[in-house]
Amino acid sequence: MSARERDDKVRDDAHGDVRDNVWHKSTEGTRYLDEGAVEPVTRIANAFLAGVERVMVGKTDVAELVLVALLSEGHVLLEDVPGLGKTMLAKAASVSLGCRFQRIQCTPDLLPSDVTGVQFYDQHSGTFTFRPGPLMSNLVLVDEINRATPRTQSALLEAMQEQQITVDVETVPLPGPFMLMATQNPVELEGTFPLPEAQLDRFLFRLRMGYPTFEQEGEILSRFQEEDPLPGLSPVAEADELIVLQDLCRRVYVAPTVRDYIVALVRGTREDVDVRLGASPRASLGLQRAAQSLAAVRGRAYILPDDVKYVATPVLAHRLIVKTEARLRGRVAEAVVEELLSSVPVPVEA
Amino acid sequence: MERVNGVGTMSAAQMRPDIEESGRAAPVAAAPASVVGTERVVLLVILMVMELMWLVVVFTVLNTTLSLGLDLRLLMGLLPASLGTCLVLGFWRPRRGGRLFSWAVAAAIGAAAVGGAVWAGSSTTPVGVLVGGAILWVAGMRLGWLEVRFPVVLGEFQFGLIVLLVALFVGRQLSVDLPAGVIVGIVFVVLGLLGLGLARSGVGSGGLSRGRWWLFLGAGVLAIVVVGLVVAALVTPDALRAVGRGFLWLWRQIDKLIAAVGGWFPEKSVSISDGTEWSTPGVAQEETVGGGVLPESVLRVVRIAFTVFVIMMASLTMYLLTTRAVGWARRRAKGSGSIKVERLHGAFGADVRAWLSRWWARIAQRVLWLRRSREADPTEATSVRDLYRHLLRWAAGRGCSRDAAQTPFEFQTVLVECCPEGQGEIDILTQAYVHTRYGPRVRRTDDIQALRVAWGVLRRIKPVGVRSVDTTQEET
Repeated sequence: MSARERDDKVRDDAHGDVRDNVWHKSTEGTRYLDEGAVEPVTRIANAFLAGVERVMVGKTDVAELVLVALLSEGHVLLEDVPGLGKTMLAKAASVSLGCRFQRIQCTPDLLPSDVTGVQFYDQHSGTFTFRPGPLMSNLVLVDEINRATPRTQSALLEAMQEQQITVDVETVPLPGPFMLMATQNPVELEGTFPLPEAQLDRFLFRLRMGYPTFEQEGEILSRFQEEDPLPGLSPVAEADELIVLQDLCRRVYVAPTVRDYIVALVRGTREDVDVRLGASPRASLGLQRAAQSLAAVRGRAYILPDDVKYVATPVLAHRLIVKTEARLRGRVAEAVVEELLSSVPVPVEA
Repeated sequence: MERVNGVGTMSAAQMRPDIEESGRAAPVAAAPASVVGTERVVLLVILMVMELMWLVVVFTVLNTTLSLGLDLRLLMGLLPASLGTCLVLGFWRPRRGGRLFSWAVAAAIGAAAVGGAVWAGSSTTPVGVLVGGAILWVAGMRLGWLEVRFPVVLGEFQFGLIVLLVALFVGRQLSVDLPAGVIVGIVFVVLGLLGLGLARSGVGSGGLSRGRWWLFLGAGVLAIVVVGLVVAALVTPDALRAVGRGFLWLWRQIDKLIAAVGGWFPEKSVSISDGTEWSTPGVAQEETVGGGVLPESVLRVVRIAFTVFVIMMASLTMYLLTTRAVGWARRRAKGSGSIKVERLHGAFGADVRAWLSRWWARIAQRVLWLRRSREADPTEATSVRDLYRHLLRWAAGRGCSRDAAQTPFEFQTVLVECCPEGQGEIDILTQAYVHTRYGPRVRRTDDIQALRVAWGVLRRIKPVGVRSVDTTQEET
């Protein structure tokens, strides 16, 4: 049974009525969700963010995007210096969402079998048995991913895109929902292996945590003075429920004009003179899905250009390769996306 | 972070929590802070005196050359009166009949001026007082609507300086007696610098001594003066008359052409007098040409239309030239850090654009109303989108145009800054619009009725910051 078939079965068993009751058909023949259908997404998102807020100070926007990535069946690359709470965020997210969490600390001697699992010979049964690796979880934190060798990094490609792993000749589906959160330090590059473009393209978001403000840092000290608030977190959803929510987010209505706007933004990255490699169609898909999930999280059954703009930089920036001369002029990928956002016309009345 | 669960109930700030909470860059440029309190009053007085000064010089030149017989002292008294009335009206904004009341006050002031002039035995004709009063009343209204802040004061200063220099130059060339011209110029510059320093300190960047903007300003003023001196050296009264003769020759050729077209009709020939009003002294005014049977009234209409056309083309050309020149200067100055650059034609251009937009909005509104009255049953979605179109035109008429890359919620943030009183109605209309435009379903009829009521309330609100967006976009 493939991962997709298994997820469909889970949906039908647990929430079979959702699929049939929420669809409507417009006069143009387009199917769309009832306005109240996304209420479960919003309710769980609010509870999740409230829980994360208890552990992470002032990082609600990052936590919201992590949830959006999970609902969009995407993966997140957290790029920032150590000590800003990347691991804490992943742990808090997994506890709040009732997901199984595993952490992989990448080093140059990490082998693919260390993350996927191995077939070992069972002397009692006289057969080869599969022992799963840490990838067989719902939420996997791959710490300092750029310290792993390209061979190990490539082992993650199949898991990220197909949600399955292949060990020897056996293909094993990963449990759903599955999200990979990778971290990398953008400063310390000695002894690292930069992620190839193919792998970068498979991350839905690249996020940066950023340093806390003066008040936030004081609040962190105060909150962690006596005890760690992480064990106090309680789950707000089950893993199976998240699969249903992912399916619900997929059905959020996208107006044709907004779809055109997404295409115009992505095509704009390919036409920029300072960009050597623009965003791929996978980026268009990611942008649409992320906007759909964000709309559902914020209580709407349809997406707005505001949703697209909000997620555009995290979705697109890491997929662009800016020409060297432009980089020397100080024009980075984020600036390219921001300029596009402030120049591509939004579909509004003339 | 406050979160809202309901559909279509999120405000613009909630749609973009990054604006307030995470501190990430917002796509909408934040407008510079306005000056409030005592400083606002002082700046308004400074602006009014500056405007009064260049108006006095312009009126003096016009009075002498065109022999209007205006009593300048009497007319100048109307500007503070009209500004004061506009400010009072700005504080007390009647919801119903506010515009009518405003014009009634204007007429009362004009009537009082005429009465006072007659009573004082002034040589000014009542028509002259009324026309001058109307111009000054409009100037007062414009000042009353200004959002007083640094870029606006800078624009007013540059615009006034250019008008003043041009008027002084023309006055000198036409030998108009302007005994206090130099003093007026010096006082104007001093007042302008004072106002700029005050406005700059109001936005938190210190006084005149801080920042490098004054270097750029000084260079700009110096350039204006140098170019003015060069032009003054090159342009003599003879040269002006030569240009006048050139225009007159062109006008005669057109006149002959019109007469020739009239001559296609058989038999009768008429004598056409040259009725142009902008000819130069010393040049022959009358010429008789052969013509056809076109009546003189028709020819006069054609002449007027042609004159309007030429003036419009000349204005457009000058506008384009200044835009290109300033664009070049802005590109040159782009690497100058925190220097703020205001377009020289910004003040005049913003007024003209706002005025034209208002008229265009009115005409478009009438056309839409006629079209809607002919269509028996427009669909609901079209109505919501039409209302939003009205909102956009209404905002453009108040100098708050939507940027093409702005979403409705981003534009709502800007629009609320332009018109804080209409925040509730703007929010209702924007929410309804995004629901209709980007959502899958149209709205119900009772919702449309509620939106029409909101639109009716909004359109009666008096604007506050006429140039708020235009001046914001000028910063580099």
